[in-house]
Amino acid sequence: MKKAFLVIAITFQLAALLWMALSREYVVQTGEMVKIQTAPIDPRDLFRGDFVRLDYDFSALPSKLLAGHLLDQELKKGQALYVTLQKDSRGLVKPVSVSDMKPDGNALFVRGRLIRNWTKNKYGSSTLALKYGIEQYFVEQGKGIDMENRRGRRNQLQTPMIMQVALSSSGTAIIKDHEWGDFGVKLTVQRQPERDADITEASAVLQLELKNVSRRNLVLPLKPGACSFRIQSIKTAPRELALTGENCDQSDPEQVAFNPDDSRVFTFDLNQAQWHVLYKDEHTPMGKLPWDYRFRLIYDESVEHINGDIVSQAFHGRGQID
Amino acid sequence: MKNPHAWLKKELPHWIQDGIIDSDQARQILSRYPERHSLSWGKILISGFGAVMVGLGIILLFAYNWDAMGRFSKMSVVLGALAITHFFAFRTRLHNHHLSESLFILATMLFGAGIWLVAQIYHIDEHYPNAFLLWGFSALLLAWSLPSLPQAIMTIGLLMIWHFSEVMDFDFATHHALLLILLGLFPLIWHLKSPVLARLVSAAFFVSLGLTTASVDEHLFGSSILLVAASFIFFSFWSASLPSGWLSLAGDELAKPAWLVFIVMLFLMSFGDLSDDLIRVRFQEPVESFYFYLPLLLSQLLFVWLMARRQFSIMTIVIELSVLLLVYPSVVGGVYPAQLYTLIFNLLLLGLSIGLIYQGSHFADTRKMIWGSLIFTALVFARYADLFDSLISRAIAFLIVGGVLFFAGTVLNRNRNRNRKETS
Repeated sequence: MKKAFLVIAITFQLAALLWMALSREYVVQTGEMVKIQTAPIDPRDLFRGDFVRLDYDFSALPSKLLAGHLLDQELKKGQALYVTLQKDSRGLVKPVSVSDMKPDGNALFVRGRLIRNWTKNKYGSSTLALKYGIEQYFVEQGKGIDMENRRGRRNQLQTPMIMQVALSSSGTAIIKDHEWGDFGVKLTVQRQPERDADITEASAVLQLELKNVSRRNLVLPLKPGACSFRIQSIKTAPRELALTGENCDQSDPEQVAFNPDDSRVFTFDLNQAQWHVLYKDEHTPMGKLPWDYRFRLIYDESVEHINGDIVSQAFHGRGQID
Repeated sequence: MKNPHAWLKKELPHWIQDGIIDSDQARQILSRYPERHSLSWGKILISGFGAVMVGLGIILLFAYNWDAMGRFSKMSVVLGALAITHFFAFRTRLHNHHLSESLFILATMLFGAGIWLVAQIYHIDEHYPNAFLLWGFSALLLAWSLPSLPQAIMTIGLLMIWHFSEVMDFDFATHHALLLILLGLFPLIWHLKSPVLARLVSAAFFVSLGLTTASVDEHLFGSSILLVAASFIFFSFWSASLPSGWLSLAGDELAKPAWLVFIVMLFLMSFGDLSDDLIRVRFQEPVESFYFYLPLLLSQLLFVWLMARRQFSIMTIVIELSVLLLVYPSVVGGVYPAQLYTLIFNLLLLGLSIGLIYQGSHFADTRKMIWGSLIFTALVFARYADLFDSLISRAIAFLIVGGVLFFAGTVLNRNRNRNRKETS
């Protein structure tokens, strides 16, 4: 009896490890592969060596994506939520809705856990912070720094990192591998507004450098006047704001070739009406918005052959870049 | 004497040889003093600590995370190492106990390494305290099945890390941590017949109870742990009356952390500001009633049991009085005489410290003497700022403390010398 119990205890250790590994391996082998673009930072785990901490577009979600019945409920910290995803032709996924119930049918979804208690009424918060268990990417010691260098830092050219993730039918996500975006992006301030500038000069002039960091010859459709770019509010902004859409050239885009290492610089004078946003029902220059309203510039043409989205660092209209 | 069993085992053959007692009497005498399963720290340091270090080394080795080594190779190495270690530990368990014990410790460390390695291979960033829970649970299974004190100690350490992480990093009260200790570790004290484990499990239970109750409601924390401490101490008073055996020893060891908790709580309640926060439970959630009334019921049942057996002592009364004072504001509600409470808790602590100093010096018990002196000094230091404004009164307070301790020390030395002469 005692011997049998000991055998059970030993078997438990072996079986637990096997189960942990095999259940993940099963997802890697059979799960649906998707690509998720990230913005990594660089810590180190004492016991597990180098790893890159990953932040995803859907790590913080606007509460407007919540299923209607959850909007006025208190969601508890640690509660499981299911984020329905939409996959584009390149395999990149974007969040569509959030629910506490597993989506039916063939919907693509990932299961996450809420990091903070959330009640719309109590906290007035507009974002839900979630964790999906895929926020760490372990690499061989020393390679974390190489990856960080390639990812780039503030005021440097930054190349987006894209995770290849397997999704199981229950929403479990397992990282399989990573790849790099085709275009590197560098955002700099060309001119900041004076402290006491009037409303017509209240915003900064930014420059965005776009560089082909791949080994392929690429072609990007580009409209004149940087009209192929739009803005997107950052996840923690109080509300999502949109451009007024004034004075932008909507003519057909020009096909611009980018050979490897080719780059091109775009200027964004945020004082121009083209970059004004609709804030409290008024056309407002970005430089006049409160400090927590920050944005990213996003390339907005449909391109199927480009790996990764072209997204700038976050900035405030007065020229402060994250 | 720390270990009379070992001493008797050595002496009894001589007594039989000299014709003082016969072998039956020797057996009866020996059975009155059960073997203390004390930790052999030398062996722990050399083999157990060595195994832990090897395990940590393996974790760090894999932390390098070679790209050239595929995930199947890494898993094969860890699983293979775990299986081989278990194989040899299992094979040697009957003829080389210490080697087997060390190998099982190494296996548990390898299992922990395996958990982190799987997390590394598959880039898992889930709720990390679960890894410590799984690790601790596997050590608990081995502690039961071997049975093994080092595995039990590892279990306590891992479960404490798990519970601490849950409360501190995630704000989860984790009530089942207490259940795991109650069902998994307390019966293990009986299974291993180990007073050392009794002390460690008791300490772990207080830590877990403190963590859980503090995260439910900080006002519940004080009452809950003091009521459980009173229960453990009452239990030890009862077990002390049993014929000398491991239960008596276990009761004594269970009560040691309880005494510490009791004294610290009494000390905290001697501060007027703190006592109100500590003793008035709000009962905002049903779980608060559970953590308050269950220990209260237990402590009172044990008190009645002691009274029914006519096991009176000053300490029993002091503890019961503290319990009644503590629960009154929460049970009855309304206004209570806060200043009188503070005064009573100060007097209780003063009485306790003087009692310990007296007993320590009179019966030449250095441990009691040290505890009494520490409590007395801490009390005087605590009241130093509250009560004494002038330099003269402060000086007098220190002179009294110094005088009492000097006098008690002299009595202790005199009595120790007298005892030594009597035994020689």
